[in-house]
Amino acid sequence: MKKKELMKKGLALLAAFTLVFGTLAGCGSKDEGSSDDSAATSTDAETDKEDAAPAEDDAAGDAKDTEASGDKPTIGIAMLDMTQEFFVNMIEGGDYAAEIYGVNLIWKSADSSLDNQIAIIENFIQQKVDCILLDPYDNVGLIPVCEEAKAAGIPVCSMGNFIDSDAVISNLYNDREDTKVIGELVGNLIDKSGDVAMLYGATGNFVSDERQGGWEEAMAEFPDIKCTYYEVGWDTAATLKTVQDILAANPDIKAIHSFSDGNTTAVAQAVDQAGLTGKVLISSYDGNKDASEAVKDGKYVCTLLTGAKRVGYWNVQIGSKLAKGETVEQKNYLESYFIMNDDMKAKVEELGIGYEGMNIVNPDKGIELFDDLSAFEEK
Amino acid sequence: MVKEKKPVFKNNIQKYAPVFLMLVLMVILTIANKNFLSAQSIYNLLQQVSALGIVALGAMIVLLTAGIDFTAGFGLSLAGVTAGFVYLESGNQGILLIITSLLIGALVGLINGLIIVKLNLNPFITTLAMMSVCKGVSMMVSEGRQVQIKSEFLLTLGSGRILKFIPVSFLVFLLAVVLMYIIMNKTKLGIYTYAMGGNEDAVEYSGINKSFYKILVYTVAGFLYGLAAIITCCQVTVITSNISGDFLLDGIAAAVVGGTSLLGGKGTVFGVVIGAFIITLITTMLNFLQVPFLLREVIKGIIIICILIFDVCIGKLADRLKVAA
Repeated sequence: MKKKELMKKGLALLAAFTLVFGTLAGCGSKDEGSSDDSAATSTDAETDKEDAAPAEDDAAGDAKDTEASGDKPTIGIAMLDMTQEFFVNMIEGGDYAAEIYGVNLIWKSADSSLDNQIAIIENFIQQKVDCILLDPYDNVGLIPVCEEAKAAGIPVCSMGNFIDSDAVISNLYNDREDTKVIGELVGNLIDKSGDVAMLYGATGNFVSDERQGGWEEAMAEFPDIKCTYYEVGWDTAATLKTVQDILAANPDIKAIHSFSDGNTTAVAQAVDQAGLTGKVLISSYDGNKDASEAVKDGKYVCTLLTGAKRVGYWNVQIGSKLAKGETVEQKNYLESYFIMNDDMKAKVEELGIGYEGMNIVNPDKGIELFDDLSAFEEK
Repeated sequence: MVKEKKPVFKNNIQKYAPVFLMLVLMVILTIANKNFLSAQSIYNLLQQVSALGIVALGAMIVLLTAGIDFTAGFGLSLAGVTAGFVYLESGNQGILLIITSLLIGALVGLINGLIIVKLNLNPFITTLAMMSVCKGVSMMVSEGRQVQIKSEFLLTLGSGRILKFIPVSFLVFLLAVVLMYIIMNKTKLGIYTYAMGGNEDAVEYSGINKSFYKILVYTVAGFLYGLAAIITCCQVTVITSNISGDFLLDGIAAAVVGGTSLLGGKGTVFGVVIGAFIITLITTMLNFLQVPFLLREVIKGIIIICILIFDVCIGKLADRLKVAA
């Protein structure tokens, strides 16, 4: 009798949990064109035109589907992760592009696992999607499954990572060269000597490696600058601790470069706590609105706008062309913008650093560009 | 009548061994870099210990029952982002952020306790599964976004300081320490927690409502994770899901290094405090010495193993001394 009671209670509890979490998932389910979803939105008053539907569980990771229409081409997107703010904005931009270009999107997260990502792509092949976009976890380990997709007649496009295979079109961001420019600027600002630190994401992550590589190339031009590198992942709390320790161990440090705006908030916080605001230069990357505001306020030297929404829009734009049978270049580069105040811009021009076609905008313009997909679309 | 002096060292050798280790680490750090003893460095250390120490207290109370709780990291994250949502919706009301975080943390703990006790499921698998749930719900609530904290009260909580080197967050940690000391040593919950770790059946046969107290243990742990979430978010001045970090493993490590037994029934609040300092000092040492990242986790793990071996040796020494006495 006791066993039966327990079984009943267990089933009831299980049912209750399923109900609760199913309801939670349902509350967040896609509702295109809906009013603002203010759940944990940034206080920089970004108004969501689209409701970014939260992930739904499936066997290979979280998924997010736009409303399907049988006539539209379908693009399967294998994301590395869908939890960071950057990726959330990227999905927003991508969804918007999907509406413009008339495609269906299937977003899936590999939860930073190569095996998961391979499984997702294999599923896309089985589903006979019209194009596959992927944010690669490993640019070598994914080659076989990408070639399998290509052999099945499905074009494959890598986002932000070069995969050395004819089967894969690479959409790239100019991270290495852009970070090098920032490094050269910072190096000159600190009179080409002293201690600096660079915070990177994770060794083996292509974006992080490219940004670190660009910084290393810049630092190599300044033999009197000693740069120490710290891996912080995308963890804000870990970044705070690391930078606190850096500043305590070396109060004479002159500059800190953070590979991602999400971490730079913690850098600024640590610098402020140590009473070194204005004495330690902070540079950043990604071009988030908060970072642009920090540049405007003089807290950061500069940041670099790739723009998560722009990234999402641009990749889906290219994917849409592929899905419709059009051809694109084997390598494509996203236009980026350095965000800095006018005095820094003047300094860059005076020093003659940078490359041809480089865009430098002020923070207000950077904030505008972060959301301005229509301007991007015209290009 | 001659009053016999109790041999403090013999009787407390194992209790004070972690203190000795902590002092050794501090000496190493001071030798490696004289800036370690600066006011800012001490402030950093105390600030960094605050959230980890609170998590470790939560880990301790669960470990004392011979249980385990894997929801420390993502439970903390869930408490934080849910509190952030409320904070935003309420027009930056700091007090609502605090209340929400504590309640959500406690709720996660309560759910853990209910599943473990009422369904008689293993804590390992239960809290592992709940960890996944917390991660998912945290992502759903936050949608990966960050919320900037603007409340002066919260900012002071995170980075305010007294006497130049004592963080306000450390005072919150000390408050948690005092409360946990009282709970563990002066209340039935504490007494029965130790008893459950020693012999759970005996507790049940004694007529004690074991189920109730076990559920309460996990609820208290969750409450502490909610408190740690508040501290962490205030310290980084943003509410984000990316704060779970190493809290889970470091929290358990701090409790164990501080003398809490994984088999239950043994551990003290004082030991956990010292354990939290030790774990924080290890990471600080690796940063100060600029150890390459790829080696850090290896070195950190080796140091912790060495500390545990040292603790075992000290324990055997203490037993021999008691026998000899």
